[in-house]
Amino acid sequence: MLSFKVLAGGLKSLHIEAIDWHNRVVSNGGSVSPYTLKAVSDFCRGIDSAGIRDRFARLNLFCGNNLNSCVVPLYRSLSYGGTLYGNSTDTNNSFISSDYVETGSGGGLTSNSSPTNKWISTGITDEILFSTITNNQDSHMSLYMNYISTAATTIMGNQDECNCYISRMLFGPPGSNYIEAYMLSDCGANNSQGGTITTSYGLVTNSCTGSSINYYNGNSSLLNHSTVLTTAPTPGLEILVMGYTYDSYGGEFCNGSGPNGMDYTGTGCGYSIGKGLSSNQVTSYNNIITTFQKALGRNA
Amino acid sequence: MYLLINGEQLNALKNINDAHSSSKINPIKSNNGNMIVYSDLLTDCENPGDTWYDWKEWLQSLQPTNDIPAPKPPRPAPKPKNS
Repeated sequence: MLSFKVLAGGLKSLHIEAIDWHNRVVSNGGSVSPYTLKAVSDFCRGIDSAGIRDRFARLNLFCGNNLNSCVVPLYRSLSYGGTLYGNSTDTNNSFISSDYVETGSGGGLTSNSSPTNKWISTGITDEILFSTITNNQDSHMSLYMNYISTAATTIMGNQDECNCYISRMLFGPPGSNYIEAYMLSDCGANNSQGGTITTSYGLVTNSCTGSSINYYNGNSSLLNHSTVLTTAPTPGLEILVMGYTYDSYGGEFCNGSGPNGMDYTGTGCGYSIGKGLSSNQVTSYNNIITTFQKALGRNA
Repeated sequence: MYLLINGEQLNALKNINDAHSSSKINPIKSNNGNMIVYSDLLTDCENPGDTWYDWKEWLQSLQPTNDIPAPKPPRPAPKPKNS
């Protein structure tokens, strides 16, 4: 239960999903400042006003006073009170408390995963996303990132070479001409490359609507391609955040035994998984989440 | 710096991880074929309430090593679809 009046207006001014999130944070041993709670509430109202709440099956803004707060997702369903998807909290893989700072230009959850093997597990597999939540032609994943490496990095998703499908997003260093965006794509799909990330922070979104996959940096689509889509595997690999599950075709790993948590070097400031976002919807989402990041003093 | 994990310790880690649904320590294969973890975990395990407190005894049983993470396997290019 809330034990403080939240800035002006009190409890009645808060969005119900922000209150629900706060209570779950407290249950997980975390806490939230009134300022952050209001920012989260404003985020929820913005998403509702934009008419895009039903696009998000799972969303975490990586905020709150500590790591226990950070791993509690704001959304776990396509609507408040709806069917829940994924783990009740994000699973922490090897992050330590000091990897998380809520506010400031470096605010968020930081992984230098190349040497340290840190990532977030969501409990959402390809089967859950593409057979239960939505289908593979109406899906998205996104990360609000603050990227610190000069090497190419995988942002989230998985790659199953054993069963020949890929659902992940990746980009090269800012200024390079290298982006890959797959959404339950066949291994023989167009190996999408091209497009240039021009900034080291911001929202990156991989959205599939119809048979078209778009990779957005902020409001801009940097890469668009059609893809050969396959039937969702059972159970399929898990979608990781700030890393990816990798089963190696012809290699030593199959059936989920592959190395995880590879590649991402930087700070994650929130992610989402759900139904496809149109260009206009990405713009709305980007504007709303950027406002949230600015409220916490993060790079935005 | 990294910490070395032997076979018995790897089994113990699996047991501790299995007992915790919301937190996992995942070892990395090293350049010498061993399993290792990054030593920063030791900075967050000492006291009750620390993130890795339940892994404290296990973490403190590990020995420092000069091993480093093995190079990542090359990211595979998409392969032709089997007919």
